[in-house]
Amino acid sequence: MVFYSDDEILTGLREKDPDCIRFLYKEFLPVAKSIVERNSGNHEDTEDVFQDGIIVLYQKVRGSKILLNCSLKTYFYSICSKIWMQRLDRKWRIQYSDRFVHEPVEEYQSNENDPDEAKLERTRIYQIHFLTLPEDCQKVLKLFLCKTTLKDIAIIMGFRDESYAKTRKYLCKNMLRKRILKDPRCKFL
Amino acid sequence: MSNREHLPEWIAMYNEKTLMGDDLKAFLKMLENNPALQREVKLDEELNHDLEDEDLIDLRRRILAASESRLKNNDITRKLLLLAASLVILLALEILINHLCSRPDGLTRKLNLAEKNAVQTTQESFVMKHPGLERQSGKTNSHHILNDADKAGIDNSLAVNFRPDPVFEGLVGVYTRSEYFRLKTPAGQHRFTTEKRILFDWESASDKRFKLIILDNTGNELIDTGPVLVLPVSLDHNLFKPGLFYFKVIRNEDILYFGKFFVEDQSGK
Repeated sequence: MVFYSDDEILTGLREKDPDCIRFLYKEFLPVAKSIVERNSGNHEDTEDVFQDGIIVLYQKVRGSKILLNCSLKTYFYSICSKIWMQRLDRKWRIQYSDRFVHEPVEEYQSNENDPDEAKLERTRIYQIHFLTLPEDCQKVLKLFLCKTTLKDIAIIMGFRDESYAKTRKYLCKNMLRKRILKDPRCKFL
Repeated sequence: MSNREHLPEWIAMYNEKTLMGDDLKAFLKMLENNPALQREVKLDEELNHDLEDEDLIDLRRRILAASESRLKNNDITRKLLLLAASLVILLALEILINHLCSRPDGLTRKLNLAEKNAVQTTQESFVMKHPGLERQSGKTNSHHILNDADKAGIDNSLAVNFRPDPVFEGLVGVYTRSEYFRLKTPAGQHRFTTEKRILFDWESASDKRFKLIILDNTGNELIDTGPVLVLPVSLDHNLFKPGLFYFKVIRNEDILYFGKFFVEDQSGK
């Protein structure tokens, strides 16, 4: 496997280079693992935190170039650490809020620079379920979310009319909604 | 059509801000006291928002693909490791079995020899149990009798080797079972001196397999032939140091006959 320097990783990530993502998995997953599995998390939690960490990193490099004053691994460690600590705190609150927690949640909101881990988790679940939908459903929903008109959706997708496009959109969204609501992780959202 | 049937459409329209007029009023009224509907509206809104970013969805797809390929690789690695571990275990077992076979009192060797006995009773087809005698047994040492050091030892311990065991002496020559069994050789208290081979032969009414066990004069079991198929049982003279030996013929753990014989060196000592 090719070795990537920190700069190359950031460039590769910006370009969503599959090799670079595989390299990240190999080199950076142990970072997330060291945080999560030492703090009452399991393998699935590690995988989730790692993916969320990559998304945060991507969002940071996507728009502008980030200036690192430490190694990328250390930077990634701090991202994952924040995500996991917030997640632990949130899940603990959801599970035990009736018995132990009396303070309003707002007092525990993290500062603005911290990633919104609840949103990250929610987005991850939604996106994963979205990617399990049939190809044509994904396409219809994508077109719809890009504000494409029903008429254009019908033309692009080869539907007979916009009424059918509307029905398909509804069916696809409903399928997605059901899958999400069935996901046990959703009870923490 | 009732308002409830309109709900999915209304939720979508509400979030797209295209729900108007009486429908909007009816919907807001329903929304007010219905937490389940509120959750549905929120989910729809979040879906619209979170799935808007095509770029992120594309990245997610690639992350999932990388995760899947990593899991596949891990699976292959795990299988290879398992295979390697199995090979190592098999190799270790092979070494262990070889090691056991090479030991004079090894279980495997005993089993192997018992199998050989079922075919033919020969010089090699018994189990040597006395380590001191083992190096003189078998093909490798058939010609050589004893080296000088052994001879010196024999001189010193000769009297000890010929000392009779009082308990065994009481059993010698006794046929312990009522069924027909007669020992042909060695007759009486035979002294083997010049013969190269020591023969054991018997007659019996049964065609069942007997076992011959040879003991030294202190009761140490030296040889166990396993089931004897071919008679006579022929043992090399060189397998024994000069001394007194006892033997017993056994069937199903019952002793049929108990006897003794002497082995002396060429000079008649």
